[in-house]
Amino acid sequence: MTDEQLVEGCVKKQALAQKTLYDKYSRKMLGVCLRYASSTDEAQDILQDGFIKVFDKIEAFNAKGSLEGWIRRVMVNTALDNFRKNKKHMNQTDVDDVKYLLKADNFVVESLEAKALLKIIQTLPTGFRTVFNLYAIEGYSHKEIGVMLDVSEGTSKSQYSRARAYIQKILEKENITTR
Amino acid sequence: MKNINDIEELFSKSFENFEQEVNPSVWTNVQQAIQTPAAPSSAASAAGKGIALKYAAIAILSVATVTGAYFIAKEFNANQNETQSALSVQEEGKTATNNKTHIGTEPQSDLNNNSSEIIHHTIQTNRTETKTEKEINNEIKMSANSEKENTLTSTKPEFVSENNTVTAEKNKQNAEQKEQVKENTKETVVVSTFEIDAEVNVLEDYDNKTIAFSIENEVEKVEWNFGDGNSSSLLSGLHRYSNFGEYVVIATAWSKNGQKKSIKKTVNLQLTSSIDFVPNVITPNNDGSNDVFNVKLSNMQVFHLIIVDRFGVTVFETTNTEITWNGNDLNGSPCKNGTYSYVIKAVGTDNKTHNTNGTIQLLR
Repeated sequence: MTDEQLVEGCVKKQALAQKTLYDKYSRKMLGVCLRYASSTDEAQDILQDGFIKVFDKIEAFNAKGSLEGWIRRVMVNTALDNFRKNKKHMNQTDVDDVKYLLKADNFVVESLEAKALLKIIQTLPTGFRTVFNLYAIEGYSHKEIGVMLDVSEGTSKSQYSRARAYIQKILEKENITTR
Repeated sequence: MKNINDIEELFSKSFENFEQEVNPSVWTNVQQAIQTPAAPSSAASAAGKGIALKYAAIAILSVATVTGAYFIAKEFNANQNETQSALSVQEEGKTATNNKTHIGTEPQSDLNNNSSEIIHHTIQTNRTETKTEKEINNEIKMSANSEKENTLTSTKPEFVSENNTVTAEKNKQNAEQKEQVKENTKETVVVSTFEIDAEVNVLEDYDNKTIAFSIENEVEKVEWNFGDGNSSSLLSGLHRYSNFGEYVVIATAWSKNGQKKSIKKTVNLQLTSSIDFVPNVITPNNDGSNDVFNVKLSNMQVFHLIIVDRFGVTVFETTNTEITWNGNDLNGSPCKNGTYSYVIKAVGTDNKTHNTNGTIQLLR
């Protein structure tokens, strides 16, 4: 089935279309959700809520854009909803904590594959992780991120640079230990 | 070593086609959620109400029409009887024509036979009118069809004169049906006193902040208020609080008949503290295993660890759970192989005290 047919079927609430659409995108979307979550369980919760929204709001999908992109945005927004609910995390971690976090030395990084990078991302404090995802991977601007997370542009920037520095340290460390 | 100067590129490329297998339970849950709209949105329920009201309006209208029609019919009937008794020697054919002239609004020639029933019906419809809106709602759902039929047949005069008997027969049937329906409704209202029971459990082996909630009874709709500003309309599910504390969970449920009941449950969210693991041997030779004396704790607010050698001399002391003993004494010089004793005094975030002591073997 093409994406168009899938959407049509889902609008009509056909179970087969819904299942096909889910099978087609769930694995990839879990990949997205994993980046926003600190654990696989949390990611699957986001995925579940996200897909419920997808099926609920499928009429709102504008056929001009790509279906995958749309579903992805729904997932990211669901992850952000989740994040906003626990907003207090945003400013919780200061630089001192980063030092402490670096103690986590149990990464087994043979190569810098997505799974290894995911491990690093998942150890990031939620605020860092969210900003890093949105900026580095999803490609939003700091201004947009500020609006999305209801923080100032400056907060987004500083969170991002801290997250980046943190990741860089881990990567350096891994490369040294695995060399 | 890869060039890690461009972290953004590294990450966005690595994750471009990143996939992972999904636990099948996710689909099960999604499917449940989209099949049975267990969580009716406020808009949906508003629409539902609208529809229900519409039905109620139609029903009242039709009831009114029916009643009106029957009152007229009754009058006709009386008139007819009068005429008949006055002109007792009237031919049957004439009566027929007489009937025809009267006809135009209502089935009539069978009215004589059915008059008692009709009166009965009228009384009944009158009763219906005095019912509360809720009852009408309930009743209408079940008898909407018969009511509609009723209205239709009684407001189509041009067919009436010919299908007189049939229509009257139908009316009779409808009346009977309606009576049955009414009995049914009454029964359900009287018999089922609506009770609800909610179950709220803290998932302690999870993170102590998540509760599992469920409604034990059959309800039409339920609203959960978790006491932290969040709510849900799922029949059962999980809710995670962001803070510990005591919360009052209120479940408000509606029965199919629109009855409403609330139930309160209190949850107390608290982490349980524990000393999870104390090593009994350390081998500080930098081989990566057992190099430090690392006590594993859960949710401690006060922690005090003292390690002494065989002579009772303190070789290590800390109140910081993050600092571990690496086998050196207070001056930083390595301790000799042998047995050491530790004393741990700790107080958990739940104000439980944990005191323990024991021995450690040091081997290099």
